[in-house]
Amino acid sequence: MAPAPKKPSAPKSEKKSKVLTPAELKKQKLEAKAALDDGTWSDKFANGGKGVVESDEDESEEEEDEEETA
Amino acid sequence: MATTQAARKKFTIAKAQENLYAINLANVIAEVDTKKMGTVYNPYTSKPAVSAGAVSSTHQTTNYTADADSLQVNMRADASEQVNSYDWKSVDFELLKDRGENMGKGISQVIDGFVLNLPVVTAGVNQLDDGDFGGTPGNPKTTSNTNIDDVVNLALTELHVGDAVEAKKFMVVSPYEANDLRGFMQNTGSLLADDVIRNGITSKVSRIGTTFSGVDVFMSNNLTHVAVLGLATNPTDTDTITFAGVTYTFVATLTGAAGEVHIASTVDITRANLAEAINGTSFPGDTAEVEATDTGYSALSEENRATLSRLKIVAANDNSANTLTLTAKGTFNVSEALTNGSDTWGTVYRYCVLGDYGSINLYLPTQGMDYTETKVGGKPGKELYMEQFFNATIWTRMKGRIVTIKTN
Repeated sequence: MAPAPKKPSAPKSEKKSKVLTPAELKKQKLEAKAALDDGTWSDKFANGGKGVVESDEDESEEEEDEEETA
Repeated sequence: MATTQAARKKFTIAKAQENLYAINLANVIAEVDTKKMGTVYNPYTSKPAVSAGAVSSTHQTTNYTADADSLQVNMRADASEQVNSYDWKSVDFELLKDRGENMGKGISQVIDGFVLNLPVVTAGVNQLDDGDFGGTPGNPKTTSNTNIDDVVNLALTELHVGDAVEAKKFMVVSPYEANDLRGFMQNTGSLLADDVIRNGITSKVSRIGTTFSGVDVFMSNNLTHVAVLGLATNPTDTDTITFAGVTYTFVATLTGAAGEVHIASTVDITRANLAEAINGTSFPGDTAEVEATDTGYSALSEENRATLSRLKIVAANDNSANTLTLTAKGTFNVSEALTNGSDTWGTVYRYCVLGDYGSINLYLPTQGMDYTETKVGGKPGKELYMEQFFNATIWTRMKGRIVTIKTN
């Protein structure tokens, strides 16, 4: 059985975060909290800032992988 | 001890029921049946078709139809504690009686939460949110002491439009809306403002001082609440999140302390493990998992488990949205100390309830309460057990008589 082709490695989601001052951190937290309250947080911050991963695109890639594996 | 177990049982049940009925808000706002066990059939029928016109020698007849829905009184709220004989005999008050009373209070809290959650989870009940107030559909309406009147008035209008015009109305709010109401009333009117400034709004199970728009307003800590934690970056060692006074600490290596979650290789796995730790097996936070690269957490302390169990808290992880959602049948606060600036809690939102008195039916049979004291082999003292059977429903014809309002 042919080995499954390696998926392209996912982009590093963790940003190199600089050390924030307490004031900067507080400001960022407040912005993030407001985004959670208005329902936009996941689009802005999830998955390394790329937002909610659209399942359609993902599935099509995975399906291709599965076919090749089979 | 002079009292016999049979006498204590009788006394404890009476005392627990007294607590249950005294504290339980559901006893005030719902139609309460304290007798029925087994299966109950929908007692609320439809209104018939009505003809009106010139007099004739015949009349029109339609067929009576009934909704066949029924309800089994098959829910059980129970509490059980092993009381060490050392504790029992050391204290200078009647510990067993105390535990019985507190079990009644705990059961009351859980039943209130169950009843007040029914409008939230029952299909066909109108759910108002920010969209109904001209904002974003789906989002909670942010209340304040200047717009709380709009919230009550719009909900009332929705009920009236839905033909719920006959009965007296109640509203159940959390301490936050109660605060807004207090502020509104203190700023508005004169006689009313004077009264609220002098007396505030009482927080026990009774009307909060006055009616508002003709609605009896009650405050409760047992409404359904939801909090969303955005967690898109793997936490740093010793980062914490806190909810309902319970703290979970993210650690690189478990130290043996209660309430720790091992930081896994990805944030999605860490968050999933956190959800698993919170949900537990029999009670929230009651389970520990051995540490490995992508797993590991410790159980909560007994007291914290008890707190979360009474809140009936449930955690749901979402890897796509990078969020953890906590749903509880009670009020709770949240805070966090997470290194990443964009990882935080959103404002806790909740579902207030406004409806006709009796639009929810609660079956709470007095014979459904029982209390036992049992000696368990190998354990000193006694195992106490108290149970109360119950169930509640919003019958089909009553669904238009109650609404929820999603607020924060």
